[in-house]
Amino acid sequence: MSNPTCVPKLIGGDIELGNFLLGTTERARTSDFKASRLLLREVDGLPQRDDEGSSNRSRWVGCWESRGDGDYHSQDWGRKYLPANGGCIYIDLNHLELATPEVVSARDHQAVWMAMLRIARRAQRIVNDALPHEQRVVVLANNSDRQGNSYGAHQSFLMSRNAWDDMFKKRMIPSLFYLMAYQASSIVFTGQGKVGSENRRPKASYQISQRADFIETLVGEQTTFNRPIVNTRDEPLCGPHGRTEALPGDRYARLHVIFYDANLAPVATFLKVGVMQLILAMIEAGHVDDALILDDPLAALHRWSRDPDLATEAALLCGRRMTAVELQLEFLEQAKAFHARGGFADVVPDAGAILDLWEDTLTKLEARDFDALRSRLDWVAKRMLLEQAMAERPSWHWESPELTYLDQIYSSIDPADSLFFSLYADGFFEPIATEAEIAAFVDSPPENTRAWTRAMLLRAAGPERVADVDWDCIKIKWPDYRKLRTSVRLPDPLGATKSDTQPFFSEARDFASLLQEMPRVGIRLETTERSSLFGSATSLLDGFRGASN
Amino acid sequence: MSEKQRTTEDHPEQSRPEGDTESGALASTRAETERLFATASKAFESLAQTDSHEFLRRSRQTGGQ
Repeated sequence: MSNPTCVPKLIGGDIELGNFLLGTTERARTSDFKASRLLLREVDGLPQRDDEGSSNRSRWVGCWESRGDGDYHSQDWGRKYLPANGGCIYIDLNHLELATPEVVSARDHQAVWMAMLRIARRAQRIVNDALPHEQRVVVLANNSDRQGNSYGAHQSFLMSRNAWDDMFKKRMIPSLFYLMAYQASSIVFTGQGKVGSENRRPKASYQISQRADFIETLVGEQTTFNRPIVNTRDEPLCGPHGRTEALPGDRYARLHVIFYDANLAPVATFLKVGVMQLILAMIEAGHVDDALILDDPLAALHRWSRDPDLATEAALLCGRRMTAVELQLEFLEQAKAFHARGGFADVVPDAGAILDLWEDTLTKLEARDFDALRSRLDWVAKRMLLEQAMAERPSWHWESPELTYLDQIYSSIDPADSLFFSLYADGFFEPIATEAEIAAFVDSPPENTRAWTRAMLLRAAGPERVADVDWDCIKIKWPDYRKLRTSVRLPDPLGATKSDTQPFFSEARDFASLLQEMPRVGIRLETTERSSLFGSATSLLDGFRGASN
Repeated sequence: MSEKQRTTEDHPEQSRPEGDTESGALASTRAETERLFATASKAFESLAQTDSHEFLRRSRQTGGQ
């Protein structure tokens, strides 16, 4: 039985990295600014703006820009889309940010996330090889500097517009609070772990979640302050919306999740996105249970994060008290029942495998069998390493700078010093995707989403023709007709797949004729003329016309 | 799982000192932890070469999203 009210739970991620320069005498405050720009310069992507990589000019791309579907003031700089795999890398508030191409399965997301880290590592290697011997750029896949500054590992999930509106605009209870209770308790397998506390939160030796200290409210649109458990940003990235239900932008919404830590352990990454796919499918279908709503989700989150022994209980609205693991087990039972009715069919790939691994992990957490979980969960692996460090160096304690250093370096993407990647290279962590799957996503886009056509169009167009790129549109400039821009619209994230457009790429005689094939699979072309006076689109021409390759 | 899963069973238990009263399972876990720690010890080598105070000072980041 497929569920007609649900849409496939497409997954994306935009993850900010920690980056800074060691061995320099420059002011520390400029270190992340410089490191992020050095790294981005070594990433191959489009559009390649004239000023990009230049040391004497800078340009804020998208600043105070309205997309027309929500007035978000993006703070990103130098956005480059990757012809290699359809993803995107840019700088957000001095952090190199990796945005994964859209995928449909949790397994593919785990693979493509590791692939994006390899792309960042390649850039880091080039940068460090060129720097003076005493200098190096450090890159960390984590979420805070342990000095009160957090940066996000955001995930995006495709939802139906109806379900999104229900959750945020119409019937907030129980779906919104059901999601909140799920997220707060899910840190038991999604946390990366960290030493100490930040953001004026009470002291702690070791926390499960890096992000918990920075989660300060229940719901909100903001992402840089007073961060919410559930983010309400309504930015579908599916073309225009608000016009007609026939458009993808009106059928789909994107849940923008800013709550989670960056994970490196494959199982933790897989469960973080896979179980969220299950929960969102249940919410979409209206299968929510208000008996699982927390009385005070924020307090529960903060208390659970501070208890790596998993004994702390929190109150539910119904009066019961539960540990985070006990609450997760209740979500699991409801998901299993939904699965038995076929609720995840055509919506969540590998739902059975996600459920099995979720159950096994929760069972081991319930038994506090941490030895069995250190190859699955980042916070457990890190805790094991740090406790062993203190056992070997009795003078060290949780507040020692050496412990904070090791905490940070767990997530270094350089195998020369990374705790995680040292163990990963040794085969310690339980795998999800194969090495071949990860390696493929370094150079190839996902085949079953629009990411495939995006990557192939960028390759075919090349830097001389690509004027601008966004997730749902590529703007082509025509060297022989400088005023013309052709927008290739990719509003449906589940459309423009390899099976849709590969024949065009293999058979078209030139780039212009390639574009002319696109409307055959519903990809819309709009050719506009830029005004020489105003530098903006002024006249809509009737489709693609007359532009040569 | 698509690839062979490595578990603690993949690694032989290190020999126990004479008179050790730990159970076999506990000793095995401890040995495995020490082996993993040794594997991750590159970070300790880097720690020896890195001023952790300087690292932490330099690692201060602009607040992000």
